[in-house]
Amino acid sequence: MKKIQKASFLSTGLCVLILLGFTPALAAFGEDVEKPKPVFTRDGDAVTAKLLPRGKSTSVTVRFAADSGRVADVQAVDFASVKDDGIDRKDFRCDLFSVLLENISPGDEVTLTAGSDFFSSSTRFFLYNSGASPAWTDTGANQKAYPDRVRELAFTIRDGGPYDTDGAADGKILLICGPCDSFWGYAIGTLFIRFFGVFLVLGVLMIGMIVCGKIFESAYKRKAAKVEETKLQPTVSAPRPLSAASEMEPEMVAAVAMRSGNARYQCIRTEMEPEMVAAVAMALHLEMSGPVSIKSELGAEDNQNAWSLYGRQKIMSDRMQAFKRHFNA
Amino acid sequence: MSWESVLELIKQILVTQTGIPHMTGGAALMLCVGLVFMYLAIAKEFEPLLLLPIGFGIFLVNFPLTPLMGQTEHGAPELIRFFYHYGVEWEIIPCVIFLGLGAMTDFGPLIANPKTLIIGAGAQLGVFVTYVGVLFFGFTLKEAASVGIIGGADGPTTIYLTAKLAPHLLGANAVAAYSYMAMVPLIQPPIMRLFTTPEQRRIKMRQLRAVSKREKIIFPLVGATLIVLLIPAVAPLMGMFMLGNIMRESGVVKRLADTAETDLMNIVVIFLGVSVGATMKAETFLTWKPLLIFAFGLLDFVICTVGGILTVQIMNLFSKEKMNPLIGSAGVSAVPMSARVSNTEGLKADPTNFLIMHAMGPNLAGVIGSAAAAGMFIAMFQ
Repeated sequence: MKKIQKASFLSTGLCVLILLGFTPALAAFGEDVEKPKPVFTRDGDAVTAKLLPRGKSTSVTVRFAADSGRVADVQAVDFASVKDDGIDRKDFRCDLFSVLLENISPGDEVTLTAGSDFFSSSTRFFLYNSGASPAWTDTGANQKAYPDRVRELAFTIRDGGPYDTDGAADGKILLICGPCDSFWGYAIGTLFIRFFGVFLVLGVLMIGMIVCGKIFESAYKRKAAKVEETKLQPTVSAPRPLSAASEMEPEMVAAVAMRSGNARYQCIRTEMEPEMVAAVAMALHLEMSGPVSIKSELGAEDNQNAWSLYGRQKIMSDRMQAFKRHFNA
Repeated sequence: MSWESVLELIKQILVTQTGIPHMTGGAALMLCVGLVFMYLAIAKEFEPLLLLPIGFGIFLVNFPLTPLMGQTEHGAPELIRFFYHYGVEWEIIPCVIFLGLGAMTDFGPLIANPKTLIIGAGAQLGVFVTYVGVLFFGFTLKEAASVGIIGGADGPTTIYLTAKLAPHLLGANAVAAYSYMAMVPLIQPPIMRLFTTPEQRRIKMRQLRAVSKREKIIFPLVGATLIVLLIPAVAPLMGMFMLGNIMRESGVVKRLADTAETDLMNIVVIFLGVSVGATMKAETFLTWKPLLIFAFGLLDFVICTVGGILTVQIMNLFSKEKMNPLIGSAGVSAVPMSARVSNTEGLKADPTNFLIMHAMGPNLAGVIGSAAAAGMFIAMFQ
């Protein structure tokens, strides 16, 4: 054990030292490995973006449509290209989009809708315009939920208004926008839910096992009662059923094995040296069947002598073989 | 052929066909890391079954221009990439290891005392605390989940989850998980003593009831049904685990159970070790992240140990029959190392107090608990 501890210290220490010593030449930390890369497809006047948002393993779709005019183009916008202004980029798990609306009457208002089953009731929709103050605006989008878990966020924007990036009432609106969810709210919320979820799952399993255990125990009790009944009948002189072995203490099994030489106990004998079995069994037998005066001299039952303690230790160690794995799990 | 053209040819061969000019400082450092791992495995016998192939994988893949982890011109995977692709990326190897583990595991102590399942759940505390902790250091949600699961002290589960969520962290996570699992006898005892009183450490628990063969056969069926119903995402791991166990307990397919726990296990461990080692190329491994993973992995283990002990303490408040809180630390999986640590600490407090069989319950519950936690994370990102 000491060898392992020493080696463990050595390996960890070495890894840490090596990495620490080499840090000046290390690659940059915080590489964006989950950057969404949306693919856009046109669906009539609407455009659908299919992407893998941050913190998700399955892709989602976001469908952009307008009540008047036409969604001419939707593109992905790199968050690094806009000013943060106190906005946490982690909240934008889909990153940002630039949406170009055309065929609008100049200066008119348009309602843009973005629908996705990725949106939740707490999803907000933000607009960005570097020329406006503040640069970021919560659209206060209205939500509409559909039975297939799709939520639609709808908000109104004016051609040439403060969040039209081209700034002109020219029949075209260019928006930089994106759905926003509280990253930390999600992370902490899901933490609690999932931690208690583990309790719930194991709790249900525990109840299932307790119920099964009770059923089995009562079945065994009934069976044992039947056996007792048949034993009490004078005509019956059947030997003790072998299944009783499973109900016996291992120490008793060892002692019985020595006395009876029954083949059912072969498994015990093959795991231990016969001399050891004999010694353990004898020690335990003497301990258990010794006169009361001897036991009382030794004190309580727990304060057993060195012989029996050694025997128990040996039996426990041999039982451990059942759990000996080649690989830790 | 002139001398100039001969020299040019030699130069061209040296530059394009040998690795010497392409050797970098990072690659040299990783070769040393590989050698250290092999030294620990061979000379110190420190988790040799895994560290030797991992070490050799690191050693081999960090030589320049080696056709091992890339793809050929025709798009076919190169040798170790092939093992990695089909074994780890396709999530086959961790599941096969779970099959073998199931075939090795005797669930008797857990069936005899199902209450210990709650300890296995409590000992996952560190998994979730670490998950939040690493988020503060700029890890993504998926990376945080894969680092958090290290505290579950379950090697195959860590590899399974990391391969699914953050494959670029596979090497660091796997090495951290296995290193700390080997360090359980070092990490846990001080925490166990800190969170228990001498009286509590002397608590003797009632002898576990005998568990019949029928109960042991029913357990994998009940277990698989309930767990898979509640967390379908964990079906590949738990399904294989319970299949291995029912093969063992039924006793009718001894050959299959033997194969699963020996030969099959050995085969996949070779491929797993080499594949994990081969992911640790200098350009992907030499960042701050592995360093943070090692630090948080340790913290994770500590919190998981505390979580297990505190769960027992809380359960004792509501239970007439007290449990020895030392068995709580065994809730961190790491079978059977942490159960042995509980037993050793119990014997130190009272030389007549044998806790090993009692500690095996939470120990096995920890395996199920960490798989459940992994399933929760997988489901979270779906």
